[in-house]
Amino acid sequence: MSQRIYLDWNATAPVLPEVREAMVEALGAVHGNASSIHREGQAARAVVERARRAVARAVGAPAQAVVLTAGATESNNQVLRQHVRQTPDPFIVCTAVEHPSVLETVRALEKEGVRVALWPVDVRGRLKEGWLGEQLDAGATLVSVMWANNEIGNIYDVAAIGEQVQAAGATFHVDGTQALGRIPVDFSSSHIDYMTLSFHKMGGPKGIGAIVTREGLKVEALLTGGHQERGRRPGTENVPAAAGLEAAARALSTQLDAWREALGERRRLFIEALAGQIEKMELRGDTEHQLLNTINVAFEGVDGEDLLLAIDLEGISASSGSACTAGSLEPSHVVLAMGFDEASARRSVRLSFGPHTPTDDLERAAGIIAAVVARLRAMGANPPV
Amino acid sequence: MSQTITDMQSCSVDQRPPSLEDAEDIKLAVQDRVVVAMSGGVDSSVTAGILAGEGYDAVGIAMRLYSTPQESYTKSCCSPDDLFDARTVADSLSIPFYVANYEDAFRERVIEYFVSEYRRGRTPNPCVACNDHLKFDILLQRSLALGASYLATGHFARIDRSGEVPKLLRGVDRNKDQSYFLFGLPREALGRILFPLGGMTKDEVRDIARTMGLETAEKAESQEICFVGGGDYKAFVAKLLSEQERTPGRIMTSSGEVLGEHDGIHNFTVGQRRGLGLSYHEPLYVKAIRPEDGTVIVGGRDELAARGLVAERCNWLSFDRPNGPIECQVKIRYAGEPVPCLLTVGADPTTAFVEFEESQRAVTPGQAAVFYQGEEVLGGGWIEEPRS
Repeated sequence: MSQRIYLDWNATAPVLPEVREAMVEALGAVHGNASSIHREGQAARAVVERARRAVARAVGAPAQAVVLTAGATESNNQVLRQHVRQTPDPFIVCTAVEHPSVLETVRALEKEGVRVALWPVDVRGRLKEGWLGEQLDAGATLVSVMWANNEIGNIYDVAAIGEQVQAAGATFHVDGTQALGRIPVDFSSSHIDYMTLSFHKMGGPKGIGAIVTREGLKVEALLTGGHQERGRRPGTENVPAAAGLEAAARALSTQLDAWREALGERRRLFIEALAGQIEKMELRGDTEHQLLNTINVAFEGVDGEDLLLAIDLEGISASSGSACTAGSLEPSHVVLAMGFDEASARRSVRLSFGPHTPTDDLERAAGIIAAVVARLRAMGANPPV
Repeated sequence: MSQTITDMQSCSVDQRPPSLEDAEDIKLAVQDRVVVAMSGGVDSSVTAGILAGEGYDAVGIAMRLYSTPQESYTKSCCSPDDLFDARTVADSLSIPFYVANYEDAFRERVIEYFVSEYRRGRTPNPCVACNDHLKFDILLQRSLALGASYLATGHFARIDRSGEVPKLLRGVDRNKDQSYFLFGLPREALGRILFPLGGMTKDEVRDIARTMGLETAEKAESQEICFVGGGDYKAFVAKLLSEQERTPGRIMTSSGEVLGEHDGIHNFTVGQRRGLGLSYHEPLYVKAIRPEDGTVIVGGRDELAARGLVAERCNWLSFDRPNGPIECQVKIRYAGEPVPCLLTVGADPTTAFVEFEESQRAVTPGQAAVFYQGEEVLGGGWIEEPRS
């Protein structure tokens, strides 16, 4: 077996070379605690502040708007839970296809008595029209919409939604994690109150993320025990990760256009290669408004888990749904929310790549997937034992 | 097909996968890929270790069969902790490892069967059901779908491939022989299954595990029924039975003397002595259970003897239907040696009539009757009733 082909960028991406270099450099050269007053502390502080400025620049926000956290999951928890603490009669609305870090937090809050409504989607994962207005009229206090979906790649029109939410006087939260590095993300022009981020889906480090906040809004710490990030996120700063974050954010600022072009070319090529070799293939999601790097596909008669295991053994990494504690797969809650039954949802497979995925790899992957699909279909039709 | 195998030493019993030449019907099969069913125990760990060590493209799969609450720790196989053990072993062997979620199938094919048998006053054997429906059906299909030529497990049993059709043989370690649990495999499956441990003793398996430095080398045996935490299967069954599904009734002797009452036949097993809650002038055993009216019939030790049995839903590995009665041996429970008998396969070959050479005690409906000729497993069935 030759080199493996990594098609699971939406889970996490290979680390960009400049990110790795920055992190290794910081691990060696900067050992201080960013809160210390001495020179080592100052050096560490400088790394953290450079990261903050780079993130702010990359997403079109002022530097003081950026709070660094340990990742998007933490950021989402912090935004949602502080809203409940700060709001007299909270009513949270989020899409039915949010990432679990939003969806499960919202469900947990619902158990604590918070009013919650999930924004339904249609069979292509598009948000139901007219629905949000009703909720805002009914007193929704926070609306949470992901900029782009991790499983089906749908891009949601956050600027338009933001305008509506703002007009109604509610708080607008956007999880921008999957959008970074794939589409332009401009915080300031999108009527967003809180945007949560991590950069590891585009080659940044894991274990660091951010909350970007509109001017004048308060960010309350989720944890207690330190005054870091101006009291908004206690805990010793992760300086090497911050160094990597700066490098990732800088790469984003300078290379997004080139990446988008590369993704578009790869997407066309990959879909063509798959469709040319495999019959009865169904592309899922809103293919008109979809991340260029994400393909959610179902092959008739082929269980997704069977396919994923079989292609893994042939050298291709992809995914579907989410794995349970023990590591077996559950059907995607996103595809279920789109109205597919469980067996059909289990057929969904997510192939996600990056601008640096070699085009040869995608052509080779299409050939391997076609062969495995043919094998599984042959066995399904005519079990050998 | 019914001749006795006299000299086992002359049989070439493979402990390595045969070549792919006899696997031509599997299209796209990958040369030497073998899926190993890994439970997290020492046997399946060593199975994986042997195959990986011999250079096969070994792939570990653990079956998730039921969920246990996060905070509970169980000693049997297939709990989340065991899946992590299996993963650790696979990692140390540098082989791919996956967890397959078969909870639904396990609940339908094993747990529901298990409860329903007790409800009917019978004593089930869930390990056989798991082998038949999970390991050597769903998992085998998946193994082939993954491009494997074979599925390997850590069972102590052997497959003799020297003849035209593969034969299932007893494991060499008589204390561990698990062929009893394997009588129900489809005959075609034997050609796709490997039992690398069948020629070894348990001690040898542990030695290999130690030599290989496997995490699970000293791990304790799992003896209990895996999905019944703590081994109290009566409490487990009782929990799953609604009030309407319980059949209470009387406890009486075969002469009709009523000795007491009970609150459900699921609490009884033929041959059971303890827990009857009776005082009598001699030790009493459960002789029979009548699900129709909930009567549990008890009697002295002598009354447990049966001259034969009827088995249903038989599966034959060595023949389709023999011409006449066969002299062979039968094992009517896992613990215990096969005993000589005369086996007559019915006009419908899924029914078997058995006469023991010597009377046997506590022939238990619901348990498996497995037929042997020396080392060879001829097949078996489910005990319907004893014959006196």
